[in-house]
Order: sequence, then structure tokens, then C-alpha cells
Amino acid sequence: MLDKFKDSFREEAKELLGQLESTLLELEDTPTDAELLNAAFRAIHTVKGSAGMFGFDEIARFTHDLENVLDKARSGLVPISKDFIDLALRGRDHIRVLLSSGEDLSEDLRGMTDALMEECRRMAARADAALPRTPESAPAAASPGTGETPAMKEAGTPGASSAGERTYSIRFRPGPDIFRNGTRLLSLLAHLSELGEATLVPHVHDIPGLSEIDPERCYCSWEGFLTTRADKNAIRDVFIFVEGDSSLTIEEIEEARINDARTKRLGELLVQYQHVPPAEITQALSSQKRLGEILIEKGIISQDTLDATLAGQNHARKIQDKTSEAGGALASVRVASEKLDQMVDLVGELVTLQARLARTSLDLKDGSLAAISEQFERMISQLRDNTMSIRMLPIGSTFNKFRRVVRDLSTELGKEADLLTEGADTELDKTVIERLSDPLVHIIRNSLDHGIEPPEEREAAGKPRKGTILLRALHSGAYVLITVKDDGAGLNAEAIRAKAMERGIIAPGQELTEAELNQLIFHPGFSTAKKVTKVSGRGVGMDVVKREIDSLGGTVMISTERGRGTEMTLKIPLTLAIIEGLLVAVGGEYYVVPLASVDGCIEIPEEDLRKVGERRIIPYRGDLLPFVDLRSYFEVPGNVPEIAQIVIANAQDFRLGFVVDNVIGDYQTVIKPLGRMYKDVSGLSGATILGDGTVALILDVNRLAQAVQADSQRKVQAS
Amino acid sequence: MAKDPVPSEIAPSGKLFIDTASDLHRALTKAFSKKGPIVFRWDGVEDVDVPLIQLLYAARKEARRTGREFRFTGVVKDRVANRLNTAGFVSVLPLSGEELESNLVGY
Repeated sequence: MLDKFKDSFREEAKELLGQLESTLLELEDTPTDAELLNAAFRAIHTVKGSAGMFGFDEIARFTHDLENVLDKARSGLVPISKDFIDLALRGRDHIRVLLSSGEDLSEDLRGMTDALMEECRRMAARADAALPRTPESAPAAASPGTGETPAMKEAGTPGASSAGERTYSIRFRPGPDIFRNGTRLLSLLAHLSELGEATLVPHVHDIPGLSEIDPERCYCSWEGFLTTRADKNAIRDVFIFVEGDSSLTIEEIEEARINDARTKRLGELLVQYQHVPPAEITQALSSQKRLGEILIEKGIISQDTLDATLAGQNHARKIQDKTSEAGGALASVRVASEKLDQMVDLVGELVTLQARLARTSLDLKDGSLAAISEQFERMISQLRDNTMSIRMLPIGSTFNKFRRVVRDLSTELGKEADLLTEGADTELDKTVIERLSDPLVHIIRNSLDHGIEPPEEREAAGKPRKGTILLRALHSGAYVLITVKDDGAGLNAEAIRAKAMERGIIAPGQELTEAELNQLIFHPGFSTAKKVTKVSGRGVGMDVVKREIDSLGGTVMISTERGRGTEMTLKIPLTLAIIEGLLVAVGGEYYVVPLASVDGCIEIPEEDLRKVGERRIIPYRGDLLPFVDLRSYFEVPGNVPEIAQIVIANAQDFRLGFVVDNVIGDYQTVIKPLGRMYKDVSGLSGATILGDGTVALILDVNRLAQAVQADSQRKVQAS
Repeated sequence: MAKDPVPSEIAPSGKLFIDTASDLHRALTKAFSKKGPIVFRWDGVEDVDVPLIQLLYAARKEARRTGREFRFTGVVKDRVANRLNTAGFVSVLPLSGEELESNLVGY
């Protein structure tokens, strides 16, 4: 059970550290934004508190010093400098490493913790030494009872988060002589309410009339509720100086009882707490008066009981409202991503099963079964869309990582650059986002290393000292376009050509279009960098980028202008799990063309197709398009039908046709990976299982288009 | 026609903690010994503690018992309003004595 909590802590801490990184990077840009600094402090404070609670002692030990530096920054003692942000970021990274490490930490890791703690202490000490010690700048005193500084309290109030909070019922009857020792009860109660969300009810009925009252004697008592992260001892500590003469009861309330107080009516609660028999409630409710009034009039309950019950109700509702306001925590549920993957797999199986049901109903010619199958199909379609939408994440979740790359790398290279982002809300399947991360890091590193010039060089060229890298994401049909654009030097076409000839990638004098020339940078081992740095220049990276994007079913386009910059656009499918496809047949084989690529379908007599012969060009809407005869491409045996069907599809740079025997219709395609046996088969991106159990192969439209292009180039060269 | 008696006004100032409780008790008792309404003015009250609040509840009881008018008036300072709210004596932050009077729990 404890492991489960530990895992949950790790997950939440990693999320917090992700937010912390982006907060710190924003803070570096706007160092006067106190809210950002507070947010960074709260994140570290939360990690520290929870780490101690779950036995991550090394993290708790380390974050204490880091938190101290952040707290001093909040007090204005530590300036928000580059050094401060550096230290905070390295501290954040170290906590991540500690989180991922097992229970037995290596000596090296402990050494790193000590070294970083020492840096934190030095920074804190420098801050203390630099400023005169005034009451305002002195560290805030810890509050009695909690041992927390006011700053810590702020970080731990329920408003910040509802995680780890408990609700206590508190009954406090001060001793009659409590005022005589100078105690101010309202201050004490104010202190209590600083621990969390408090609802207190004073009982005043014991106060006598003016002629009987002893003005220095206490007649009041309190009953109430406190929802807090503080434990029972911390609450008791509030009363530490008055407890001897007073009566104090603190009891933790079960979650179920709080829920009851929130949702049940007064009568139900009074019965449940056994204050009133059910029959009395029924009788009281039959009159027109308010229930509480009647029960008090009849002497069934006291005013105190009524007040306390109502206070409990109010408190539970107040907490509920506060939790909802604090970010709708109850409106979302945290689910392990593996469970989500399993769900997508199951939906995939359902889609396949539904296809089988549709096929069976067709074979049996059963009208009732067909109706059920159609209804089932509609529901499965909705379920599929819902499930896929759950897996969609905003790509902005990875943008922070790139901001950090730009920051660290530009420092390392002695360059100045800003990363601007657009379209962070653009959603993509989480699997795609995960696989996009590394290629994007490569592209951004290349932009910084090869694209953005050193500041002096930029100034000499009339550019601002600081370069800009724009990372933009936007939807385009079933694809997302991700652009990395820099305002650097641009690609050097001559250098690329020379290097390609030197490496034998192109023949001397070979004519290449600009697009073809640019694509050479994706060739394995290709680099025009004059020197190899640890960042880039070895030619490893861009070919990996291309391979990864290809495997995602995407494409990479480059446009560049010498001296003005380079723009690299990745066109990525929204999802890799289930797609809409167009099912076609060739001989006894089935193929799926991704529907997002399909432009249209035409028919052409086989005789006409033969006349076209080796040219392999067909007319389509005023254009002449190349085509691929899938029968011959995949060497499918069988007779050729008299009328051929051609599916027109949009590839990366142009449209092309696929000659098939039959267009069957649209098909929800659950993508299954091809086995290792098919790894060398070009033109296929996966497979799917049809309703009758037959396997259909999914066409890789871009690869097939490239094959067509290469084929036509060969023919041109041969002629 | 008989004139309405002049209201007795109690207008304490400063922080009304335990050290002022006996004086206030005396002032209230004296006011109740006279004829006419009794008015408690909040303008000068900077801070309060439970002894004052108890005295006000006691005065209210006395007024009920004797059929006298006892009411609040003036501006209630934020600090006072917050104190009363935190301790549960009022569920809203009163701005005036009149508002405080109508919101005091069990008053």
C-alpha cells in the first residue's frame, strides 16, 4: 500500500517539477513577477513536505536548503539573477534524479546532493551578509504550534491545494478564569483559523444578564470544524498555553461523514447522529415552521446541537466550494497512462469485433442483426472518438523542455536566443507527443548551433544580437504541422552541394531542385559544420529526426533563405492508434489508404490504362498525375478487371493515383504494427484486421510517392 | 406632551480587552439605571476580545428583561469585524453597528 502512495507521490512530484521548470524560465524573463516566485516556492515547499511524509528523506533534506534560498528570494534578499535561476533549475533537475533513483542512493548522488546544498547555503549566506539585518528582512519567526514560517503556512493553506488535508471537529470550552492570565481568546481562535479552513460556532447561551455577569469571567465556548494539512498535535499546540484550565476535544472526521454533511438535509443528519428519533423529524416536518426551531421548542435538541450540526453542514459545503474554485480538482481524475493505453487497445479490439459483426450480419442477410450492427457501429464510433480524445494532450506540455534546451545551449555556445512558442494548446495523441520530443530537440539544437549566429556576427549583419527560434504548432486536417523557424544564417546551398559530392551522395554536376538539395541534410552522416562540437557537427541527428518522423507517418519539409533563416515543418498524423481508412481490394488482398490522404476515386477502363504504358500518367481534374499499380508493385497474382479503380491520394509534395481492383468503402482502421519480417517492405506503414479475420495492409502514401519519384528520375536519367 | 428621554450613549475607544471589561460593565449598568434607550457606538473601537462581546450579550438580555431599547450604531472597523467573523460571532463582515446587531449569532 505504501508503495502505491510512493508511486503516486513520484508522479505528482514530477508533474510539479515540470511546472517548476517552466515557472523558473518565465521568472528569468520577468524577474519582478512575485506570483511566479511564489509559485516556484510553493512547488518546492509541497515537494519537500510530501517527500518527508513518504520517506524520501534525501529529497526532503535537499529541498529544505533550496526552499530556503527561494524564501530569501521572496523576501528580496536573494536577487532573481541568472545564477539564482541556474541554481534553482539544477536543484529541480537533481530532485528529479533523486525521484527516479531507488532507495539505495549511490555515494556519487549523495555527493551531488551535498554539493548543491552547499551552493544553496552559500547563496543564502551571501544574501544575509549583503543586506543589513532589519526586523523586516529577518527571517519570519516560526508560528508556535506548527513550526512553520508564515511563508510555509501560505504554501500549505487549503487554497493552494486540497491534497493531504483532513477535517477535524473541535470543541473548546475555556476555563472560567482564562481572561485573568491575559489570554485573548479571539487572537487564539484567529491563530487556529490560520491553520486551514475553519468554521466556528460560539455558544453564548450561558452568558447571564448584566446584573449577574462577572465581566472578567468566561461564559462562552466554541464548537467547530477545521480542514487543514496540520496534524492533531499542531492543532493542539494552538491551545498549548490555555489547555490546563480548559476543556479541548479534537477529533478527526471521516471523509464519509463530511460527504454526508455536505449532501444530507438537517433532519437526516440529526437522525444519523442520533440526536433525534426519525418519528420526531417526520412530525416536526408536518408543521410549517423551520425544523430546527420546532425541535428546540419541543426540547428535543438544544440550540448548541442545532448550531453545531448546521455549522458542520456549512463547513462541508464551504470546503467543497473552495476545492472546486482551486482549479476544479474534483472535475478531473488522474489515471495512469498504461491504463489509458489498455483502454485504447480494448477499443481497438471492439472496433475489429464490430467489423466482424457487420460482416456476419451481411453474410446472414439478417435485417435485425444488421440494425443492431449499425447501432453498435455508431456507438463504437463515438466510444472510439471519446477514447482517442482522452489520449490527446496539448503539445505545449513539451514546449517547456525546449525552452530549457535553448536557454542552456545558447549559454554553452556563447549565443543569445529566445524561444517563442505558438499553438501550445494544439492537441496530439500522447504517444505521438512522446515520440516527437527527441526529434524536436535535435532540430532546435541544430537551429541554435548552425542557424543562429554569434551576437557580434548578427550585429554586423544588421540583425538584433539576440536570435529567435519560433516553435509553432497548428492543426491541418488529420495532421498537425509543427514548425521550427529561426532567423539565423539559413542553409548554405553551396556547402551542402559540395559536401554531398565529397561524400558521393550526388554525382558531380547533378542537377537538384532546392527542395532536393535541402533534403540532403537528412542523409546519414551528413554535416557541413566545420568543426565537431559536443552539440552537433557529427551528422548524427538529422537523419535520426527524419527516420523518427517517417516512422510516425509524418514528413519533414525545409525552406530556407540565405542570411534570413530556416523553417523546418513537420507534418504529423494526429494519432497512431485508430484511423479512418479507405478499404480497397487487389486480387485477393486488401489494402487501406488513410482517408485523410484520399482526394478522390476515379474509374478507368483497363484498356486505357494499358495504352498509358510506361509513362504511367493519368489525367485527373485538369492535371496529369503519376500512379502506382498496386497489383504489380506488390506482385499480387490474379486477373485484371476490365474497369480499374484509381484512388487519388495526396502525398507530401504532389498527388498520385493507386490502381486497385475494387474500392470497398471507408473503414475504421485499428493500426497494428508489422512484424520484423516486413521491416524491409517499402510502402506499408502497418496492418489491420478485418471483420472476417483477414489482414489488410495499410499503405504508406509518402513512401509510395517517393518510390514513384525515384522511378521517374531513373527513367529520365536512362533516357 | 412628554419629551422622549435622551438616549444614553456608550462610546468606548481603543482596544477593548479584559482590562477595560469592568469599566464597561459599570458604564452599561449605569446606562441601564437611567431612562431611555441605550446606544453602543462602535466608531472608536479598534480591537475587541471576548469579555466585551459577553457584556454586549448580557446587556441585550438585560434590555429584553426590562423592556429597554439597546442598540448598536457607528462604523465597525475591519479589524473588529474580522475578529468577530473568525470566532464565528458573525457570518458576514459587518460595516456598521446596525449591521452587526442584526447578524450577531444568538443575540
